[in-house]
Amino acid sequence: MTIPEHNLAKMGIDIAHVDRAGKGVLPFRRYKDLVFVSGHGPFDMEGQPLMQGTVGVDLTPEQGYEAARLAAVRMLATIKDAVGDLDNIDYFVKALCIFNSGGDFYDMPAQANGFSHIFTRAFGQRGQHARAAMGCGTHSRNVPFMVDMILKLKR
Amino acid sequence: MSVAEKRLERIGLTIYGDDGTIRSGAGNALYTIHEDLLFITGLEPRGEDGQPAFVGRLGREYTREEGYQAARLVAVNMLTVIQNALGDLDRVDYFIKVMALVNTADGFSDLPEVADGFTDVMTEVFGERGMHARTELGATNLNNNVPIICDAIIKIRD
Repeated sequence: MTIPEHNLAKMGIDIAHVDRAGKGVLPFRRYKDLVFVSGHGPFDMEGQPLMQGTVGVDLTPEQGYEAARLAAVRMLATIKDAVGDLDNIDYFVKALCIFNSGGDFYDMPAQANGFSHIFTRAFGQRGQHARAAMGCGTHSRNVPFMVDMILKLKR
Repeated sequence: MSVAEKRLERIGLTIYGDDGTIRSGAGNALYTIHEDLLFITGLEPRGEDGQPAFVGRLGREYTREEGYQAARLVAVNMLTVIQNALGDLDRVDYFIKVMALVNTADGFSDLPEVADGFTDVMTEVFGERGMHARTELGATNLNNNVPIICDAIIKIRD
């Protein structure tokens, strides 16, 4: 026990332990003029999934597009919280789009546009971004789509 | 002893002395440094002997709790790499971004709860500075059939 803690103990004060278990994930982390945004899916603000399922198995590609759009809407809430004013964004750098997919679904880029079109329509050329799209086996809460993003702030 | 090492000792974890056993194959760096950024390769839950300590998938061979423990071991591997890269864990300014790849079967979807094993170790060791943005996905196959692999981007102290 350290000397301050010993002195506090003599005063009857026991320092409580701050427990971060399960709370270590941030919605975003800033590094200089870059904002790294965590993986976002089609969830509402209470964390409830708005869509569930696997694209190509129990969801159609069109539903995949809609899941990607809903993930963009949810991510915009995080982005606005991160940057304060959307005009503070210089441009979007990179997105990783991940579909919970199966069967014969291989059309990830077209359906990931459900995410990307929101940004190009809202921000114009600054909303364009490098992107990778892939299929995976499962997602948290069985949502069909997750995406993370790196964006650049104006100096 | 660094602050981070003291905290590690308190939670009963020991990093490995050498990152040589973690190295998976020739030509693949365990980390690279660009200015004040440390990029860490995707790491597996390996024991000090360098062998995977967990082999199998979540939802088949492993439960959520076992996956959590595997994720904690990934964090031990990463702390070993950081120690060797920076010489001192206290040179970590803060964690920026982590990607957690979870090897899943049969629709297992508790990915955040498994990846929290990694994240919890980092917040236990670094406090707020160990927190990070994170993306998880359920992979259909991982190297050596390990249950989880994590990579990271870390800011080094100026």
